[in-house]
Amino acid sequence: MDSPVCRHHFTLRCVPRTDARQRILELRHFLFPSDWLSCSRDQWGNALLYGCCGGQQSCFEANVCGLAETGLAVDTPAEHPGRERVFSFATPLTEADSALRAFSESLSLRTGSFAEMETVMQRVHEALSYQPGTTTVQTTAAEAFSMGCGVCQDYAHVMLSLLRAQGIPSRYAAGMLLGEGKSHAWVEVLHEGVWTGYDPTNCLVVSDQHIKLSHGRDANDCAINRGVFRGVAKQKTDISVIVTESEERRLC
Amino acid sequence: MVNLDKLLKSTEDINGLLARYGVKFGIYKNGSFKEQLFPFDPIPRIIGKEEFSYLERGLKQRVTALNLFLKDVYGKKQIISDGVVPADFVYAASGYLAPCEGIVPPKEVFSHVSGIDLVLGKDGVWYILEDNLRVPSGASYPTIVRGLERRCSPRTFHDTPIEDNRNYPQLLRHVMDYVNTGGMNVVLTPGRYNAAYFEHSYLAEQMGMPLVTCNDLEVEGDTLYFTGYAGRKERVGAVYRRISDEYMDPMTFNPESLIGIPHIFDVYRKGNVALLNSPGNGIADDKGIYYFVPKMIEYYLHETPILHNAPTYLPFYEEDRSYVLEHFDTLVIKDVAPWSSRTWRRPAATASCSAISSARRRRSDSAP
Repeated sequence: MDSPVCRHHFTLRCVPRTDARQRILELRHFLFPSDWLSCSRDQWGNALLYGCCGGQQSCFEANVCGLAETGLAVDTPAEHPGRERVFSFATPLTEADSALRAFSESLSLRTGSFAEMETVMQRVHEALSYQPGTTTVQTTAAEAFSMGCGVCQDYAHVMLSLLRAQGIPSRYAAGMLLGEGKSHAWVEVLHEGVWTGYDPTNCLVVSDQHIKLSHGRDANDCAINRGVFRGVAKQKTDISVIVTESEERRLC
Repeated sequence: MVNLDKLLKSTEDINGLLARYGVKFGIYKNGSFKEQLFPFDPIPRIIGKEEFSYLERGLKQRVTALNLFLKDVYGKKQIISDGVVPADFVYAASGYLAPCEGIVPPKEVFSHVSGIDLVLGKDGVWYILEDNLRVPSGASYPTIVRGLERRCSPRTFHDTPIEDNRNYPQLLRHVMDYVNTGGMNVVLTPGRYNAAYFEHSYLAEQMGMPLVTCNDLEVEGDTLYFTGYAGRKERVGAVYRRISDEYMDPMTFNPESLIGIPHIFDVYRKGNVALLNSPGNGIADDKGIYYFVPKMIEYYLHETPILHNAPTYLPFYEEDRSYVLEHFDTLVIKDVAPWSSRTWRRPAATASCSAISSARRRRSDSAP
């Protein structure tokens, strides 16, 4: 922040959890400054790390590091099969307009099978060009689609919008990709009781190079950092992700 | 026969006393906030004992079913998988709050205070007009007026057996004590510019608990605290909050809210505080869900509904759709589209007849 603020409350969704695809072997976090910290899980089971700093501060830093074992499975089984229908309904960010609905219909999706989803992923990848800075976190799927560009969040929202227009349950996944850069986002589709990940930005089926942090209906459910503070400061947020293969893996 | 002479003559006195006590409601008009007195009308609407207990039975049944619906819809969702309520009407409704998924509030009570609107039709039958399960208001006005009436015209109440309603604050406190998770009770108000601020302060005074705003409450770790004038922190176990879900916690709901308490929802999720009413209730008093309440009563309680909905048609269903299209000019049409709440009232509409159009995706299908 460019001037000191106080009463900073934060909620972070930056801690990966163990599931069928990935196992978290080590986890350390460092948050500064904070008066207290607590953790919880949100409605989708994502880990929350939250707290508050009452006094003055002009910088907030959160570091999470650990060791994850990935690629344990391709799919994640649905935890509450009866409760997943919420993911077949559009949200304000993924609501299809007439253009998206027409595009969705042209794909003539039937079952939500793997082959169909690979096609959708490819079509989304072709329909958008990767241009950081052209969209914001508030950009809807319809806006990104009409501009024909965006970042990973927009690719995911467009794909979700196309699938949900056909009533196919699908969710937004936020995470990290092998290498150095920003956080990443992709889509998971429910088919025959299992969630399979598709990465339309890279036109890749989600593999052992993806580490998932959270999932939800859209990017709003997966915000890595959310907070409020008192003060009139302008703020700048930097997210830096570094994922490398560990020694053990290389030895295997 | 009720002796009303004295009461009628006291109308002005009572209105004067209401003004002195500041029994007001606020109205925003042309961007400015104005408070108006609540006008008092001495002519009572008399509801006989038998009719009253019929209404009481019917309302209890309805609210019990609505409470079970809320527990189900944020939990196992049996009513959806059994096809009684279509998934569309739940997940696309603005009242469905995903963060409430999987949360069971203290003592499994979702709707502690329910405002159910009744209308007496020309046919002499009582109908349910709508349910209000989020932040219903208005209970304090008849309570305070009754007290004044009794002072101005004791005879009326001495000579006529009239059910007392002045125990409302005590009943509310009893409910708060029942769901309290340990700690004190507080009444949370958005502030004096709220339309019902008089009621907030009146109920807090009557219940003997602090009237607080967001600045008096604070979350620390997994506990909600009230900071008193002396700066001492005290744990809060139940909050009668007169602030809507969207503004209650900027960390979970509307991030722009300045009248909420950051992280209060996290404390609630962990079962460490009771919120009255529970967040997420908007799904049960939704205009589309209204149609299904009689079905809920049968589904959860295996009983026949005692009180009836105003005749309602849901164009989502084929047979209702054709009725609505044929009688379009004589029906009240309410839109249940998500993220908007518009009601169109047609001049020729009758009070006992309403139709609910199912908008959303299927709207284009239902157009003739």
